Amino acid sequence: MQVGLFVPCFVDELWPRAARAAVEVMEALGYEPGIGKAACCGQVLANAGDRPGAEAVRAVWASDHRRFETVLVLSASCCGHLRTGAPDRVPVGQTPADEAPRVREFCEWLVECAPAEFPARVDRRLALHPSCSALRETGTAEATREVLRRIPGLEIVDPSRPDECCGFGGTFATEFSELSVEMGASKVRDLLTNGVDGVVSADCSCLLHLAALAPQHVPFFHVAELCREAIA
Amino acid sequence: MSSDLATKFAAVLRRTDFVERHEQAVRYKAKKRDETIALIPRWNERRARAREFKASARADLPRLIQMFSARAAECGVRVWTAATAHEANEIVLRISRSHGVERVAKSKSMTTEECGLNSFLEQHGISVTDTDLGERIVQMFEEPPSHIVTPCIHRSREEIGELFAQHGMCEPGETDPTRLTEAARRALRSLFLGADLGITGANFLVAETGTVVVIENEANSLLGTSLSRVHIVVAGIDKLIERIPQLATFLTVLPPSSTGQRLTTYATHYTGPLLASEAERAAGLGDHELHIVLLDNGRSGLVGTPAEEALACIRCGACLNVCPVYRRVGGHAYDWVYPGPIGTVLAPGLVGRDEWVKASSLCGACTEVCPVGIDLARHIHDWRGELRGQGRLANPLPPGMAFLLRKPALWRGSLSVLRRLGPVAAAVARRTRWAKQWSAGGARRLPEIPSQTFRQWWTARPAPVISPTVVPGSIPVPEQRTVVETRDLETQFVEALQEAGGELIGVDALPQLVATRRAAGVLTSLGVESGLAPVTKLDLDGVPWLAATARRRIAWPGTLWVDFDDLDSRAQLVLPEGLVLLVPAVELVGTLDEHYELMAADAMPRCGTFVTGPSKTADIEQALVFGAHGPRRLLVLPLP
Repeated sequence: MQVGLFVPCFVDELWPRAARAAVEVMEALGYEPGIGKAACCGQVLANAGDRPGAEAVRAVWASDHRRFETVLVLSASCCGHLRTGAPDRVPVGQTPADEAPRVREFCEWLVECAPAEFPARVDRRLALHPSCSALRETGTAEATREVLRRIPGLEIVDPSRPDECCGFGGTFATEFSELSVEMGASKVRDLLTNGVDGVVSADCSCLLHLAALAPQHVPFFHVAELCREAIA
Repeated sequence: MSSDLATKFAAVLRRTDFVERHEQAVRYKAKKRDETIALIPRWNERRARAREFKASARADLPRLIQMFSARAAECGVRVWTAATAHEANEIVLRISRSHGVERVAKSKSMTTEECGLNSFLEQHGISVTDTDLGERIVQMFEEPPSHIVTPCIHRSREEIGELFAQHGMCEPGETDPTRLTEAARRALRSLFLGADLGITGANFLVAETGTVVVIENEANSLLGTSLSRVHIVVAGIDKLIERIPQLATFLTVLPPSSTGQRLTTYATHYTGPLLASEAERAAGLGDHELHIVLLDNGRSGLVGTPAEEALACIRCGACLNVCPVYRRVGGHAYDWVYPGPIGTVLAPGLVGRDEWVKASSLCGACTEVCPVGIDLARHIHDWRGELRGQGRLANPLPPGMAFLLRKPALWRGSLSVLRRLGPVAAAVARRTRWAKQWSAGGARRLPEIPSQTFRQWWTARPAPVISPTVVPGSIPVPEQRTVVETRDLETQFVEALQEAGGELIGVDALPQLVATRRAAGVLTSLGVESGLAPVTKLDLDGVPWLAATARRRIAWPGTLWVDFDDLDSRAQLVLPEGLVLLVPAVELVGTLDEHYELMAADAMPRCGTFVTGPSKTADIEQALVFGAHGPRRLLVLPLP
């Protein structure tokens, strides 16, 4: 069965190993990944205030992915944007709306398809960074945790302030670079306590920013990369 | 190439001692909020209801303004409308002059800060003293508040001690919050006793009854409005709600979000001016005068902008307390009365500060905590689009990016050319402003460019044979968190009362006291002798214990409802050192909802207040001190 997989622009260029791992995990589960041509969801433009630009890019994305029944997005924040064209925050007193059920965050889908226990051990002790988007836009942070729980040998450690922003925020990272760096550095300190070996998250944008601030020997993983290891 | 705002924020970040202390103080407030909210059943339902009440009030604002003005006027209130801050200031000046006012006791009001009322009145020869401890401290520092609820959260106890010592209020080197608060209490007491006019803001204006609701902890607001014969309320039109029972929802969501309290010490309902009691008339005192200034100052212009929903704001400050930007830079870095996420949403429409909307990572923490469901992060996002569309914001992205992203082949082609140029392209890229900003002077490494993109790998790989190698598991059902209260109301009341600093006593434990006429009657029937309490402020000042009657206890917040008609003067409630409240034991309900239902069923009491523990403050480094300006202790005696 074919399932669309959208690899966001920056993951394609800067964190390709997450996308390769996602492809291999899907295949191991018996799904055929469908990769469209579109490069971007348009979020970067929308967050920069370019409404016409963002809408045009989103239209390109939509026509390109129309052929898939389900599209998995390898980033909670892109997924949130694609669902509503802007941060899709859960309305007060309601559960996340299924406005666009075809667009699903990778972990949100994986939790329904992954085995109760992955076959291979991954002996690591990692800090989990649940992104703001996964916590507050797509509501998929619990799915990420559940997927990781099924990997034998993997020990997940929560930072003391899991719900705090890492300070990336797209253009915020360059326009308010000192603030962004200060937020990121404090996040890295919080993540790298309790003797963890590295960090895992479902958002590559946070990972890129945090990895650039952490000591170089500390490994950073997308969830898909660990699932890939657990399948081999 | 950094913007002015980014430069300003970066300068604050270099003051590492300040940032660390400020962050810690603000985080503490956020933690208190979380702890209390965890105790409230159906929190999200209440937020949704509060949001709905505000939305319907907004949709019907002209009618509500009319209704409020008519009802308030029927009760003897003079209602004024001010289109601008200047008009509001002029109105206050005119009222002050007509009464020959020289000294004003002003309680905390962000609206008057917005208007610059203090400096306006001072320019016209009227002395204004801010009486909220935190506000008084920033006034003495000659600086604006840095937080909408905790004005001096940016100041340390050492700085405050030094300030007080300079003013001769304490010995040099004093840093103890209790002793500093005591020093302020002494200094301000004489001011309260001599003030000619009390100015307050409002938390809610209730249209159906013309009622003004003011919440506070210190008793400074009640003192200011009770001891001077004239009271002016300055309030934005966004403070209007339609009905009295809606207060139950707002008073359940506001204090926990603001200070982490179940309810503030006082939540005073002013319906019409206070009329002198018989005892007051006998002592030569007359009726009070109440003026309400309804301020627009740009608010109606926000309708139809991304800030429209922000008119629902009840100024709790929760969004500031969780904002990763505000936590670090503090309120003064924003240089406006409303900082943080709520200020960011209001600023472009009210004061044309456009740049702020960029100073957000859109993390959504503000949206998550807002007690009236304002989607602040969404509105900041929407302002960016709005302002770019109006040409008021520059494009922060490399030129041509929007075009290339629309043409996937061209986008990838351009990047692959850069890739092939390798070290040359990298050297050029490092010199762009985006790379320099990313690097922040070497603090953040540039990402390593992988040798192959995902797509290059995808296109080059041989077609895989797909067959499942792992079998799916079951889907977990997430746990629902619900709060169920099973203990009896009496137990709940006592727990909440004690949390608020109050004490439950029996008849045996009554101290030597004076009593209101009504309370004295009750005490006599219990066989307890008491003297009659005085009514004038000079006689009440320093009274050790005064007994008054309350109508009802409400278990959830541990509060008591006191009807002002039951007092011989309102000052009896706040001037004594200790207060004893006598209340019929059977008059006990669970929640504020039940209280307001009963209130609506009776005729609405004209004026009254909730009393939740003794007067208190936590303005100096969040340290809780009882006896800010009002009673230092509260004893509650349930009557059989």
